[in-house]
Amino acid sequence: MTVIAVGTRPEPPGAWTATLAFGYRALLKIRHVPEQLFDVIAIPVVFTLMFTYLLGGALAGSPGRYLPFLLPGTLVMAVLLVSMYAGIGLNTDVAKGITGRFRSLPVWRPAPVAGALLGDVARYLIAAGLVTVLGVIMGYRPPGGAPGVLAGTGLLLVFALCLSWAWTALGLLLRTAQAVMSTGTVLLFPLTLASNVFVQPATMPGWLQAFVRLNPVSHLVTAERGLLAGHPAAGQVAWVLLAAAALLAVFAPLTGYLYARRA
Amino acid sequence: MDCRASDRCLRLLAWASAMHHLILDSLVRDNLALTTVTEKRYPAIEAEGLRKRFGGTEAVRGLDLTVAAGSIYGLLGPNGAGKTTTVKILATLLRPDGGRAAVLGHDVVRDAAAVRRKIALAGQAATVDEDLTGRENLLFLGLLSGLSRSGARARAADLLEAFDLAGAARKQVKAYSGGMRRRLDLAASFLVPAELYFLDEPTTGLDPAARAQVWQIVRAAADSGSTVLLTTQYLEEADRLADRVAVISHGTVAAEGTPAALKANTGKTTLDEVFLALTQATEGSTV
Repeated sequence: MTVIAVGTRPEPPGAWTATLAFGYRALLKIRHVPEQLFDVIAIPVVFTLMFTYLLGGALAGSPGRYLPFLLPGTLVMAVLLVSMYAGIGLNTDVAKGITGRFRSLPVWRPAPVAGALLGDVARYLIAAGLVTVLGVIMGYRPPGGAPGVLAGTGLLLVFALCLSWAWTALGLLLRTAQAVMSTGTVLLFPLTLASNVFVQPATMPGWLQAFVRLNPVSHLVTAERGLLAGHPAAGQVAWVLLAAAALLAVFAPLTGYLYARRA
Repeated sequence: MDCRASDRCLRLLAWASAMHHLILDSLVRDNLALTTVTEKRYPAIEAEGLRKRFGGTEAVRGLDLTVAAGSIYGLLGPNGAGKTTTVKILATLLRPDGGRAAVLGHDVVRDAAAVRRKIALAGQAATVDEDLTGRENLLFLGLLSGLSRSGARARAADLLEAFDLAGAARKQVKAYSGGMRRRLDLAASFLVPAELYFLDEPTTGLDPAARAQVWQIVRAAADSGSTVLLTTQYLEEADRLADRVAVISHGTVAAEGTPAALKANTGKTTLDEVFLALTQATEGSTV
């Protein structure tokens, strides 16, 4: 019978091989379930179109003058919304019981989460690429050119990867994937809307200005505007990297702790 | 002179060959001793006083279990008796709250990594990815089991064929029937050889033909020298397959022995009757 494998069992995979295997799985999931990407990416796409053509004239004189201001903002919005799926995926894995099989295998313990991050990178790149291409189609020509776009995408990727640890922790704390989705949306919408994505905060009431200034999304959007415009603001970029490091420092260990307990 | 010299040579040769034999002999004997020692030194599973609590309910309370290496062992019990929790503890998925357990000579808590290198798990406690195709699941899990890409590909093809899934290999598991999922899940646990297979309700939801096929595979696993611990709700399955069974009720072992001995001791003719008598008796005593 060929069913039962005979001979000696192969050596367990190393940390990197195991992480790559989980990354392979994450890419397969994007291929088989592209909805996971387009559900949330529809929102920034609609906002980009609507704000530019509907309100661009009123906000900046003309849609063409508003787009360079708006696009870095909706770019940030798209990637941050997609980052939620890191938590949804982990929650589904635990709920369905597939983490049981992972834990019974002799693989590096953090590999499932580390490999999922590789899939996240692919997802963030697709989201950022879609919004950038949409902008270019609408007539946006980033003054920073290709280096500016690459630097902007890189910074956004770093921030989103650190933020995704907050979602993985949430995914392990909440019981269902729907709860992760709705809690994520409830947290992300005020953060992305009450920011400088759509308008300068100068026109807002004082209390809202105070919030917008504290909001890390505002700093990220300002940093992106600088990079895409070709005159990066070092202070803003540093601020974003610091916020990202803080997110990582808090939520990566928390995810590890919760994963060991729940999965 | 010549003669004396050659005599000496001969004697030297004889001595050398004698030594050679002696060394070889002792090596062989040591090897034999070594293999018998490793085979007999420990049972495949040895658990004492296992306990596990979830919130207010104690799923496993003082469970003892000894499973001989190379045997097929059946864990029987109604839903919620603690079978899956026990399997999860033994397969290093859950830490016990009390008691201790050794699997293939390794403590499941202190030496969990060593246990994982020797076991395979299938069933309720472990599952497959619904978004991926059957083939992709086996490829991915094969890579995680230490197979090379080409090795995983070959093994996936063999197992899909053996479990009657070749036709559905490129379909997402989402579209599989319950029985097909169960077979894929089982196939995944046979990707690499294991010394101990944990099969948690391997035949639940399978049609009779598929069930008979799984039984054949379980026997083949035991024939290859591995140990199989299977949980089941089908008493006929335990009767036909298992060398010994334990009836689990309310987190402890209510009865243990060969199916024949259990029937003889309780004066029942089928394992069904034994099971009902035992589980109802313990239920009555705890109320």
